[in-house]
Amino acid sequence: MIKIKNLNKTYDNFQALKDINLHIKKGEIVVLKGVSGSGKSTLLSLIASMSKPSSGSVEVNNILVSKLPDVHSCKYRNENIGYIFQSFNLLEQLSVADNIFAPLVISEAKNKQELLEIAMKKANIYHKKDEIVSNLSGGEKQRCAIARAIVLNPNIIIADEPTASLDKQNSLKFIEVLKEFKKEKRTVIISTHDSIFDNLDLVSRYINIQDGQIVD
Amino acid sequence: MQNKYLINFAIKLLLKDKSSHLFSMFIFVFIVFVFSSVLFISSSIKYDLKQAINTQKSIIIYNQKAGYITQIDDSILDDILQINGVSNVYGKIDGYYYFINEKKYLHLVGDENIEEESMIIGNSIEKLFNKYYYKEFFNFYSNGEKYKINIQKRFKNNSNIISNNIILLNNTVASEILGLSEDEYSFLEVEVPNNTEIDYIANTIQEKYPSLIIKTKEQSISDMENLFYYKGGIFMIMYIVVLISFFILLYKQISSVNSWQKKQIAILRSFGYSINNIIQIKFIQNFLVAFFSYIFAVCLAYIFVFVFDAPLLKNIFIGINNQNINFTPIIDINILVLLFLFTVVPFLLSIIIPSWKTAVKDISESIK
Repeated sequence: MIKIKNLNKTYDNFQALKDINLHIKKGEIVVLKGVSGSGKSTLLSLIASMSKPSSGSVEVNNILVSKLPDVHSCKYRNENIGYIFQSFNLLEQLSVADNIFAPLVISEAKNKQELLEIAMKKANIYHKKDEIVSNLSGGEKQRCAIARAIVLNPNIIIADEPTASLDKQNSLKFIEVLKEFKKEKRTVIISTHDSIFDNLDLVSRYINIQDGQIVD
Repeated sequence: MQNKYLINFAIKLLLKDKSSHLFSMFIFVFIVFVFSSVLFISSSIKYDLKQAINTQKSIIIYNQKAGYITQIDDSILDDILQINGVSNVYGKIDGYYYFINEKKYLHLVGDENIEEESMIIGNSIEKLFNKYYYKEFFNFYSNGEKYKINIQKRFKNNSNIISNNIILLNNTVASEILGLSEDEYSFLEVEVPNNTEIDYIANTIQEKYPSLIIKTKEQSISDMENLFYYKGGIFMIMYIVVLISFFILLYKQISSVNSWQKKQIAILRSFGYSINNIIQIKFIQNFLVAFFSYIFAVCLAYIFVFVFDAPLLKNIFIGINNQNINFTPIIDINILVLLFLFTVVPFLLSIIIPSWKTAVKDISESIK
């Protein structure tokens, strides 16, 4: 499903990723492990087509997403990727419902209201739908971010340090969400250095990244 | 359909971020208010003056002595009538009566259609007479004589800059009050039916009577505009102040695409908003701010000028002796459209360009 070939990414003189080759199958839950600055987030942003590689390619469902022009890469992100950020990256001044609705605004989906409600219920944030995001707790913000990520039923979920801003209780709840993703056969790629993800049965593979390279 | 959602979303973001737009709105309203007030006043005064000049005949002849305008006698009237192309020559009575109680000059204009003991007065004159309890009549004193003249009627309430300050009297009475003899006039009006002959006839009169001041209607309009634009210096300063404010606003707009707004753009981009979507959102938000500010400011200026008669600004334009005039509501749509283009367009560009610059950047970099 995701084929990454000879992927390199350089920022100015710093090489963030070096010759990455990786295949991720549909429905796999992959955990990228590594210290801060190892290149995990860069790899995620390239898979999500939020950055362009310096060289190499990223192919998702036989589409060369690394070469897509902006309009098409936007459509690809909107339809295929659900991105959960470390600091949630919610629009703080808007309500929960408005935040979750944001990806639907530009989507061609017909049943937008229905999708919104389903996502809020799945993420267990429906009861807070009219609350302004800045008033939410960390766990609620993450549920809101999860609902936003899944609102368009993407087949790939990318989570960048999803538990870094959460306490243990909320981190464990995220593991429960992962189980749901597994049931729904979504492909999930998580970057983390949180030990809570260690030795989880639901994780298909652990990939260690060090200095921009995959290490065994 | 998608546009409907995008518009709603842009408005939601705008309403939730009111405070950052309030300063821009305030400055924008102030700038457009000052510009449009000045434009309303100038259009109104120019309109009134042009209307007044347009009622004049083709050529006006004044006499002058030692550089001052003085009365003209009717001896040259027949002579001018003999010039080919002149259809008629009229002697006009027009002058100033010194009202000692108020230490103010009243503008008297002769009109042959008014009865001898009657007069028609402007709004400003009526208020002045009322102040001295002259409700029904007024006594003019001239050459030891008293002229009791009844107030026949007033000009309608919305007196313009011309009619507001004048007293229309019978020609003979006006002559007597102004101290003119029977064969004397304030100036002569020459009627020339063929417009192409006006300049030629004006030159002919000037050659025959080099000491007279000859003015064609066109020259009068040009003199009026020159007289009007002597205030231009004051307004240049005002314009400069307003322009500086506008550039401060634009600078503020550009710099206001601050880190969290950049992050907001990056967040939207991360879940699939294209560069066009971002520009559309910024355009909708700022167009609404600019458009409603513009409409509000123009309405405010309209009320300020045409309802409240532009306090403060009026003094600069027409002097403190004309406080009772009402500005004729004249709106020059072309100027308003130009003002719209010169304010709204730069305002929009000042936010769209930096937003576009942010949108085209690497999303993962911007989001950090």
